[in-house]
Amino acid sequence: MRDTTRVDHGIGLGIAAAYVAWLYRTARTLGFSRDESFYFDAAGRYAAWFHMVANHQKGATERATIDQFWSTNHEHPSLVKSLFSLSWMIFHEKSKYIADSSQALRLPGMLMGGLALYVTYLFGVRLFSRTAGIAGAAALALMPQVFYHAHLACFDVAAMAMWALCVYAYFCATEKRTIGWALWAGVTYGLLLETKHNAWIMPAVVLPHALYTYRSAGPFKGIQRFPLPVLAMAVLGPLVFVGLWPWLWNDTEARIREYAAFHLNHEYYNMEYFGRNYNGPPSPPSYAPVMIAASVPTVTLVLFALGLTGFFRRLLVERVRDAVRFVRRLGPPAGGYFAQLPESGEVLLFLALMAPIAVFFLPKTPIFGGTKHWFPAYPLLCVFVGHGFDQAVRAFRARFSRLQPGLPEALLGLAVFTAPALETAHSHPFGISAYVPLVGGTRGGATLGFNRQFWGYTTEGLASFFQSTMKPGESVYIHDTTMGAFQALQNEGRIRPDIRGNAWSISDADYAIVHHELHMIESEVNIWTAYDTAHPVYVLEHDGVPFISVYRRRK
Amino acid sequence: MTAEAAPETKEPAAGEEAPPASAAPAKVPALWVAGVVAFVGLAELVLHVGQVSARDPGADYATLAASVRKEQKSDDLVVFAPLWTDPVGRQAFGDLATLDRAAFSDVTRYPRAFEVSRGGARHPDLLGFRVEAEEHAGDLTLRRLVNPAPETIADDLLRHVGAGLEVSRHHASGKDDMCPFTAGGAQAGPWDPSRPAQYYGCPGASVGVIVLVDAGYRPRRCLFAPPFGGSDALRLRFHDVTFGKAIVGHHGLHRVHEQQKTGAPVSTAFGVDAETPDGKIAERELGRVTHREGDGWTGFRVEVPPALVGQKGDLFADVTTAGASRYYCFEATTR
Repeated sequence: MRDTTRVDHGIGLGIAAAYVAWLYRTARTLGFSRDESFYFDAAGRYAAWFHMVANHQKGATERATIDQFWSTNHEHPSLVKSLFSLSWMIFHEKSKYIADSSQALRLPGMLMGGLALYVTYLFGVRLFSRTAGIAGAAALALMPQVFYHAHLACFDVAAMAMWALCVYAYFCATEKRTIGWALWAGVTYGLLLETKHNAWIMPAVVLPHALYTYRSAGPFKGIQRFPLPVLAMAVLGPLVFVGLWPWLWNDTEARIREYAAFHLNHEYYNMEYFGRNYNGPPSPPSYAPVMIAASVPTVTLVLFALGLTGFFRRLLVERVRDAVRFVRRLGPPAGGYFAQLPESGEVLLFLALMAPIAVFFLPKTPIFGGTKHWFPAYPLLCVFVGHGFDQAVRAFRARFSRLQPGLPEALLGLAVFTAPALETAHSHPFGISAYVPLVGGTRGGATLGFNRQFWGYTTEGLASFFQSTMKPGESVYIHDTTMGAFQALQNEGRIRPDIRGNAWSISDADYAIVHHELHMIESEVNIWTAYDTAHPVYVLEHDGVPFISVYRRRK
Repeated sequence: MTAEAAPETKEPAAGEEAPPASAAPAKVPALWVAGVVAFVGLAELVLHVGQVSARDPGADYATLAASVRKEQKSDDLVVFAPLWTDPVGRQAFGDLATLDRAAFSDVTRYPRAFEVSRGGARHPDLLGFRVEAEEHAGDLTLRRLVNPAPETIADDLLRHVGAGLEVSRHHASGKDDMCPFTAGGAQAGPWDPSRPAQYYGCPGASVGVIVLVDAGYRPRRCLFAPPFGGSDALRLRFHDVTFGKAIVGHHGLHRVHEQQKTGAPVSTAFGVDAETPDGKIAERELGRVTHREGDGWTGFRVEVPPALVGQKGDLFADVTTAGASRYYCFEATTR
C-alpha cells in the first residue's frame, strides 16, 4: 500500500480538469432532458431562498418559507440541486462568467464527473500503482453512457462520485485509523445520503468489510481496534443528511418516511430490453450484466477481469487449495490455512462495486433507469481495470525490458483506450443509445431491442430542421420533451424562439415529433390517425438509427 | 478523544510503484496476457470504425423506392426490416408508405409484398412468403415476395365508414340512438387512442378508423368501436356489403387495456336481417367473436350461410361488454 503524494493529487486533479473541460465544451450540443427541466426549476426556487438568507431577510428559516421554496421536487435530496443553484447564482446570475444559464446549472454535475475520476485515480494509486490510477480514471472517463450523464444537471453521476468518495474516505479511515479520517468518512456518507438514495445500500458494503478488516487487531492498539468509521457514518451521516436538507428541518421523521416510501414504492416506468417493454415486476435478472456487457467498452471489461484475477485467486482458489489439503490430511500450507486472503482494500472495492449492481438481481427493482442506476459501481470497477492494465504493462515490460520507461504504458494505452475514446466521442449527443461494437454499436442495440433513449433529450437535434422548414409562429407537439426543457432550448437560442411548443395536443399543432422508444409508438400512431399519414417529413438519425420522426399536419 | 497515530509503514516515494495489494509475491503475467488485452482493444477499434463508417443508406432507399414505385399495385404490401428501420423507410418511400401498409392488420390478404431489408434482415410476418426477386443497393436489399396462398377479399368493412356505415347505441329494447357521422376534426394526445377527423359521435365514445397499438407494440389500422358497457350494444350497420364465404378479421384492445387484466371480455356479434318463415324481417346472428384481455391482436372467422355468398346486403356488428368500456378495435373483410 502506498500513500498518495502531492504529485498524485496533481495528476488526479489534472485528469479531472481535462474531463470537465471536455464535458463543458460538448455540453452545448446536448439537449435538455425531462428531469433536468425539473431540477432547473427546483434550483431556481432554492436560489430564491439562498437570496433571502444572503440578504438576511426575515423568516427565511420559518417553516412556511422553507416549505414554499424547498417542497419542490422533494422526492430527491437537495444537495446536488443546491449546488446547481449556487453555481447558477455565482457563475451566471452574479458574475455573468457563464453566459448560458444551463451551463452554470450543469457545471456541478460535470465537476462531479471530474471528482469521480479523481477518486478513482487516488484509489488506484493507493491500492496498486500510479499507472493503475491513470488507467482506471481513463477507463471511467471513456464509458459512453457515463459521458452522457456526466453532462447533466442530474443526480446519477453525482451519486457515482459521492459513492466513490465515501468508499475512499472509509477505506482511508480503516487504513489510517485516525479520528480525522473516521469523521471524514461519516461526513462523506452524509453527503452521499444527501445526494441520492443509492446511499441506503452502503451498509451492505461497510458492515461486512468492517467485520473482515477488524476481525483481528493486527498492529493496531486501543481505539484503533474499533470500527470508528462505521460509527461515524452511522452518527454523522444522518446529521449531515438532515442538516443540509431544509425540507427535513420540520416534521423530520414524517418527511423522511415520505421520502423513503416514495422510492420504496416507486412506480415502474417503461424500459425496453431484448425487444420487450418492462413496466412492472418482475424485472429480468439478466438486465444488469447484459447491459454492462453491451454498454461498457469490451476491452475495459477484459482489463477488469484481468484486474480481478488476483483477488479471486486469493478469495476462492486458495480456499479450494486449503480445503483439498485439509481433506487429504496434508496439513496446513506454509503460513497456515487462510494465509493468503484478499487484502482489505480489494475486498472493499469488490463489495462496493457489487452492492449497487446486486440490487438489480432483485425482481422488484425497477430497471427504468437503464445503466445509470448502477453507475456507483463503475469507479470501483475501474480501479480493478487500472490494476488489470498495470498487470498487462508489467507482462509487456518483462518481455521487452530494454524499452524506454513509459513506452510500454504508452503503446498498450494506445491499443487499449483508442477504441473507448472514439466510441465515447462518437456517442455524443446520443449517449444513452451507445452500445459497444461487440453488440453492433447503436444499430446493434436497436436490432437487439435495447433502450434507445429516454427523457426526450434529443430534440435539440431538430434545430436545423425547425430552422429551415417551419414558418414563423408555427407550433410543434414536443412529445417526451417537457415544456421547461423546450423553453430552455429556446431561451438559449438553440431552437428558434418563435416556434410554439405544445406538450399535450398533437391535433392542435402544425408539426408533431415522436421520440422513438418501444412504448412511445402509442404517440406515433396517434399522430398517424390525427394527421392521416404515416409519412414522416424528417427523421433524426444517428448511425442510421431513427431517434425522432417529425410529421407535418395536413392542411 | 484522540487517536493513536497509525502504525509506521514504509511507503514508496512519489512516482514509485506500490507493492501489489496482496501480501503474496507479485507474479508477472505471461506476455500473452498483454497480447490478448491489446488484441481485444484493437479488434474493438476496427469493429467500431467499421460500424460508424457504414455509408448513409439514404440514396439507396431512394433507389429502391423508385423501383417499387414502377412496379407496385395498390394491393401490394410494403414493409421495412428490421422493424426499427421502419421510420427511415417510411420517410424515404413517401406516399408509398400508406397508413394501410404501415399499420397492416394481417398479411393473408396481400398477394405480393415488397420487403426493404437492411443488413439482410427479414420481416417476421413475411417469412412464409416466397422470394421472387431481389435488388441490391448498398446495404439494402429489396425483395419482391409472393404470398403462396393469398385470400381474395370480397369486401372490406373499413371502406364502408362514411356513407356505408351507420352507428348507434342499440338498447336491449331494440331502440337505436343514432351516432351522427361528423367531420369534426381529429383530436389526439400522447396516450389514449386518437379521435380521427371523421367519426361517429356516440355518447362517451367516438367511433372511427384509427391506428391502434396492439399488445405487441405493433400499429394496427382498425375501426375503433369501444362498447358502452352493460346491456346496450354499440351497433355498427354496414350497408351493401358483398358477402363471401366468411367474415374474416382481427380484433384487439389498446395495449394498455390489453395488459390491465381486470376487465370483462368484449364480444362482437355479426348478424344480418333475414326473412323468417312467416315472412317477417328479423335479425339473424351469424356468429359471435370474443376478445379477452391479454389475447393480443387475434384473428377471427365467422362463417356465412351459403345462400348469402355473392349477395349484397346489410351486415351489423353488435359490440358489447359486461364491464366498463374498453378501447376495442377491429377490422374485418368478407372473403
